[in-house]
Amino acid sequence: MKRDKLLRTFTPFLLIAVAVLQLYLVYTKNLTPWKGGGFGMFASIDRMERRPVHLTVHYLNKRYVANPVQLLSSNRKYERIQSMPHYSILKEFATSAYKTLWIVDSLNKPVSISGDFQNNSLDDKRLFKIKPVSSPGKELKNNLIRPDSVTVEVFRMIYSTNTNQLAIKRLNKITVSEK
Amino acid sequence: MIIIYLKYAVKRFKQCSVALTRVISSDQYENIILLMTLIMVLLYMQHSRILMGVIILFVPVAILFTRVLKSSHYWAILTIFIIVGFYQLIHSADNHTYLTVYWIIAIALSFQTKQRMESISLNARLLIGLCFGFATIWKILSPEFIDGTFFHFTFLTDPRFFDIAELIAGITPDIRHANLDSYNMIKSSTERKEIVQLISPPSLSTLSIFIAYWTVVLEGWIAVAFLAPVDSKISKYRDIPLLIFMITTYPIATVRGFATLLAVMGFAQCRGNNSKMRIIYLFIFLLVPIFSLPIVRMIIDFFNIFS
Repeated sequence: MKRDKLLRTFTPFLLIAVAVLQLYLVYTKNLTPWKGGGFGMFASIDRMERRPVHLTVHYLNKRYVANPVQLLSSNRKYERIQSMPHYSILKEFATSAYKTLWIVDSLNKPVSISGDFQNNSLDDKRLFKIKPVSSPGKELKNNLIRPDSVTVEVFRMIYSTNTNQLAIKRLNKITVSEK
Repeated sequence: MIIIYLKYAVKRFKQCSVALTRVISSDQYENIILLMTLIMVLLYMQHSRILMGVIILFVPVAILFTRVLKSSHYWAILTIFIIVGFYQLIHSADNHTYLTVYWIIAIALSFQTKQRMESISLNARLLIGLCFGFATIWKILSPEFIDGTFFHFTFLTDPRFFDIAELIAGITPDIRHANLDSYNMIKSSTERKEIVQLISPPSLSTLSIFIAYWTVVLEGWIAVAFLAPVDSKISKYRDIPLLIFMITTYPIATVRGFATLLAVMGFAQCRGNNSKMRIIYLFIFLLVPIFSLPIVRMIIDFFNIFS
């Protein structure tokens, strides 16, 4: 009888446990309310897809804007950074960006991106300054950038109904350098 | 002529209902719940390669063979594979995917109990109640929801709500294109905009607050009604708020997977001889693909013809 009762109520208790954990992660680890099984969807504008990730490469006292998507092998990894940008996830990503060899996008053209990111209303006036390279040809070697440091920042959106202004607020930031 | 057609349609509907009532009230009730669950999994749960593989391999077998459908071993194996596949998506999975996994676990565990149908029905009711309970808590805890900011922003930037925003607030295509450009600029990881200006009609604030309160009341009502003791008065009429929610929400926010899951669980939690409600849930289950039609757009275009 006790076994039956346990089996019958296990799943609702599992739902409660996951939802309480999700509440904790939202308030302590910046998990988006939309994810994590806490049923916070349609309660906040802070959706995973609405979290911009800024990747900045520092080299010889200059700052270069890089597209974080180019570094990741799958959209799922990018989603992981957006959905819960806590320290260990950001450090792993920033370290991989730091170890990457970059090159100035001399043609000043958009670096190819794929999947959902094509919807980002790209135009020809590029802000992409650099792109990652794995095996550069001889002619490009003078333009190579081995970062002095790399900064990753994740933001959420804030909207004011009084001013109709949409702004971003930083959730987390990490810088990785040799030191 | 129209009246004759309507009378004929009502007559046919009644005949269908009587036939369905017989089937639904019989021993087939449990089989229908299991079949509906598997059809839903087949249609709306192929989020990753692992899940797709598991679903394509395992689900059709049980749909075709009743013996497999009613096998506890089958449900145990399916559940394990679905949990493994789901784990890959845990960071990005939507809440209704979590709920679907809970529902499959609940069915698998119910097969191990003495009163299987009682257990399935109880789990359906509690999972619906808890899902809406936490959804309500989140909305109350979120200041940007209660003050209307969430819906205000959603009407301006979420393409799923553009038609309803045009209908109720008069947001023209020009305004929404301008808003989308600004929104995409700030969303981009490389544009590095820190602030942008959106365009909004003044009436949207009041409407957004009204819709926010309506949502909290409706979802809270569902939570209380489904979590209250089954003998209580509020529990007796629990299907009403859930049906209102499904009919008013999903034609706008077309989350077909969630709508189908609620129809399956709604169907499963109907106790005793409440066959009318079962038929309604079954119809909603079958009609969910219609929710994908641009119903609001069709209404706007219909009125535009006469204006």
